[in-house]
Amino acid sequence: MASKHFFESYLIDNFDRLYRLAFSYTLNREDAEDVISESVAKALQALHTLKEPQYLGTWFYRIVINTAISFKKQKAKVVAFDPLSPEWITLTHSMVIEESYEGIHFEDLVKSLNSEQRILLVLRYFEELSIAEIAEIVGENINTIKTRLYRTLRLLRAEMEGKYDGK
Amino acid sequence: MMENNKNSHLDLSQAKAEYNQIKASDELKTRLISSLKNQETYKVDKKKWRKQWMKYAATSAAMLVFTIMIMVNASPAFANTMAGIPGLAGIVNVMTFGHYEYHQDGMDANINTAKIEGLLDKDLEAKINEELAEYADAIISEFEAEAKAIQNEYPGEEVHFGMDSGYQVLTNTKEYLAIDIYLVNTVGSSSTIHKYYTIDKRTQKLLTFEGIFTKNAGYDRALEEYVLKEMRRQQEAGLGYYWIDEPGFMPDPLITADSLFYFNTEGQLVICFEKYSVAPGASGTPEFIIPTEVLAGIIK
Repeated sequence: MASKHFFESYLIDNFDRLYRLAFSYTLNREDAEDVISESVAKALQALHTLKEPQYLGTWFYRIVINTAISFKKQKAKVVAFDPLSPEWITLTHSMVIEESYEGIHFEDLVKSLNSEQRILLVLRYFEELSIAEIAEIVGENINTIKTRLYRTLRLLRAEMEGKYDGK
Repeated sequence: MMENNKNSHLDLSQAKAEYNQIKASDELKTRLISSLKNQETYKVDKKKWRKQWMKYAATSAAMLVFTIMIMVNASPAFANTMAGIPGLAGIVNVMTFGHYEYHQDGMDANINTAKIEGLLDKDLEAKINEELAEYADAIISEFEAEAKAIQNEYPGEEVHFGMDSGYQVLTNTKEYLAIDIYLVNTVGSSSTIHKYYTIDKRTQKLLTFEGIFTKNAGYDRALEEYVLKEMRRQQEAGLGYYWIDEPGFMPDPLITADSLFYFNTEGQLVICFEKYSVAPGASGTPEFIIPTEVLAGIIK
């Protein structure tokens, strides 16, 4: 059974990863911070329902993603990504980006994909989770996740071809 | 196979390297981690959602909810593994047995009753469960009486008053089961009362604080000396603030025969203090892990 202390050390060890996950969904620092705060509060309340501590990671990812989704719904408006927003400029400027690199940048995931698609890519290729784990986190079956990932990759590939063909 | 294939077309390594540079602010990290150590902040957050929930609830007629939930939370796979270990035939579970909620006119109650299952000593199990149920019933009656009194005194007005009680499983290892039954009482500021139950699964006994030490070994003095030293150390390192320099604020004696305690997942003894008892409210309910060398010669 997962104790509060166990959760605490998990949180300390994975804080940036979790924040990154929330951020890749919200694309907004303030919202990502709210999502993480709320997720921690929810997790604390439900910690006693988590029977097997080895699933804490998957379980908490699920909380973070569900919180991010409902958070966005609550806001009721879809905030379009603005690459000129001060926030985005601050973030990308503090990133070491090889401008000359003619491949996929994180910004391309932001421009080409919606939040749901982006989160799938992040979980699969950045967090390196299995399809089965993602299905568990998102609460869908494995085949649905495969289909969505496939579509997302196809979409991204098409966008990338357009980007480099068009220049 | 197909995914690998796609991956070779779509190289995400640069995007990943950029993604990994996204970092949370230190402020958020510090705030959340310290809120974990401090039950208070977490309660405040919870109240915020409760308010949001209230907005929805107010539109429906369902203002009073009383449900009894029996949660089936045994995991067969885990149970089998445990059954394979000699001497550990049963798996001990803690579940929510009763749930009581009330939200009206600013008064809120949220009371979850815990129930322990799977102890080999069925008499002990029944005794603890009875005690847990009685405690929850007592809180509910107290809340209802108080709510009625408030309604009589301030009819139609919104008075903020809340009782929130539930349990937290602190430890459930091969050696120990430790649960914390908490009660947060909110009238203006809030107070928290904890009751800890620690069961040694190897002996199937409910532990008492006094009972874990050798008689006349002076455990109280040894522990008091350690805890005071640790409070001093934390305070000097800026990690906490205790009433060590305020004459008459600290309980005397600090350690008694029924001090609050539990054993954590590492099997270490943890001594706890009620909110306000050794430190200002902002410090929450302080806990001290007692190192083995301090326990040498005093523990059974």
